[in-house]
Amino acid sequence: MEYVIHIGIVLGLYMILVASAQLVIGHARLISLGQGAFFGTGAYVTALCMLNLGWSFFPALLTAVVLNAVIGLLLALPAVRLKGDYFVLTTLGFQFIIFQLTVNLDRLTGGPAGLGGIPSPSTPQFLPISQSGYLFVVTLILVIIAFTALFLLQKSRFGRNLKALCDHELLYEISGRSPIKLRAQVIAVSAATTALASAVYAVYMSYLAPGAFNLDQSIFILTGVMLGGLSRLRQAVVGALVIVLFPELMRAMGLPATYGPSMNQVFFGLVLLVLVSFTVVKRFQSNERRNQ
Amino acid sequence: MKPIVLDIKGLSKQFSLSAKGAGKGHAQVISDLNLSVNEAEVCTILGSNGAGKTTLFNLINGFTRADSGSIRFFDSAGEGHELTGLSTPHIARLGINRMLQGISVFGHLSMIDNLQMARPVLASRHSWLERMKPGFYRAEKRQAAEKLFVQAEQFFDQFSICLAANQHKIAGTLSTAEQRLLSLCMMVVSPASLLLLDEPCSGLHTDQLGMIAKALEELKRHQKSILLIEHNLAFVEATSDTCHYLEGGHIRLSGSGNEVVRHYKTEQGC
Repeated sequence: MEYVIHIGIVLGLYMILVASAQLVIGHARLISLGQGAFFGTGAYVTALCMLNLGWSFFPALLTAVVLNAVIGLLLALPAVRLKGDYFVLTTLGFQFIIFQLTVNLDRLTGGPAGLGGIPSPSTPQFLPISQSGYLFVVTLILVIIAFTALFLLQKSRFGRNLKALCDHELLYEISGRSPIKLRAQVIAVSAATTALASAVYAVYMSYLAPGAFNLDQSIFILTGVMLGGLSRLRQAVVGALVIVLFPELMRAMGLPATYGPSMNQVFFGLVLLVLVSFTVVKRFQSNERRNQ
Repeated sequence: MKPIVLDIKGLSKQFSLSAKGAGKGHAQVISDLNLSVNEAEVCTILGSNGAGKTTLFNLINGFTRADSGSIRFFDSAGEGHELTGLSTPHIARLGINRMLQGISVFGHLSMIDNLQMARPVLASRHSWLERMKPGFYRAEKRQAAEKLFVQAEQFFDQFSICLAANQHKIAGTLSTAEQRLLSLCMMVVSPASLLLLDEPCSGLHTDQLGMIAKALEELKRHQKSILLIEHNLAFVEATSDTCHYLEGGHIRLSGSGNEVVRHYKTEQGC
């Protein structure tokens, strides 16, 4: 039972992470390699609010969401003026900056040793469920919140504008709207929803180390987006299912520890390679050609 | 004498050539160009390929920056704005819309969404007290959408296209002529007072040109001023109020449509 709850929580977290990344990568057509960094900033903010300021979980979560949106805007400041490869490089740089900060600001983040003893939110008295059961319920609620928010956003004028921007950037400018502003908003929203997952991750693991938020994490999330699909939220669910359940499946097959985990990497590497070269690139290219 | 909408003085633009093998050099695309457009008139720019027609449009709506000169635009309230140095979205919000060469619609959006994109963010004239009322924005949004629909429907009716039946069609699936009409309709519903049309007839059958001419009349009826680039001389003669012949980056000849087209024909030897 504990195992099922564990998988449920991790799955929920990755559903939020992949859906947030899908907004940037799929809807705004900006390949971001900084999603893992946003995941990290959210988690550290939650943990620090709870440990240093003694706040309870939900105010800490809200702070993480707001601060992540601000950090998103800060990244957007230089990044949104760039396109294509240059944007990717900027987010990559952002990823490295955040990683180095978490490693080197050891007074604040505990450095490479990490940050431990993050308290778990206390289960309300009236709920007859275990600690992790409660966290699972919290995760579920946050998944629903994140997906509803993203769904409504895509159906709104914001979503229509985003579609129009990817369709024809020059025409979008001619209509009197600023592409830079819209892209910045997309990055901020994506960072904010990512923070929902980060907060749960921090209290669920009760220990944070920089290694969990490095480039590998960003690429892992990117793989989830590419695997599921670029346009619909339910595709983000599929992507999250595959990237969470496949490693579990490999473990269940009982491969020896010497090459079991590396098989995952081989699998995901191959998948990413095939997807990028045969399907995704075409969509990105057709867009660029039209925009010229 | 009609009031002036656009007043261009001494405009120049140079592109530096840095292509391999070509060595270093500069191409003077627009040189000391003077041009003015009157309100509710069709003003055509004629010229061969490379004369600088599209570059002129790019300079007006801010895709490229001018080296020197001034572009003054007078909005529907008669207020003057200097356009050089402004960004494209800013210029668009002042009231200049443009139809790009080729496809000028959002291919993945429905017809009605395209039309809504042509309208900028609601500029409300209500006080903040009125805005605080619950449902204010929803009501205003609905009103704006209804007004837009009626306006667009009237336009499409003239070309016997039923907007109500087609409004959810994706623009990319429409025929070239229909797409062209859709972009012209976007011009009708947009609040812009100056329209830059870059070859609205390209890729159309000669039978369909009458349709575009009719649409231009409709735009004029809505008090919109039009700056037009067009190669089809019969079309230019039929529609233009004034015409300018652009060569080597500046205006060689100005006059009525007929005069300039006649001169252009003798020049080109046809």
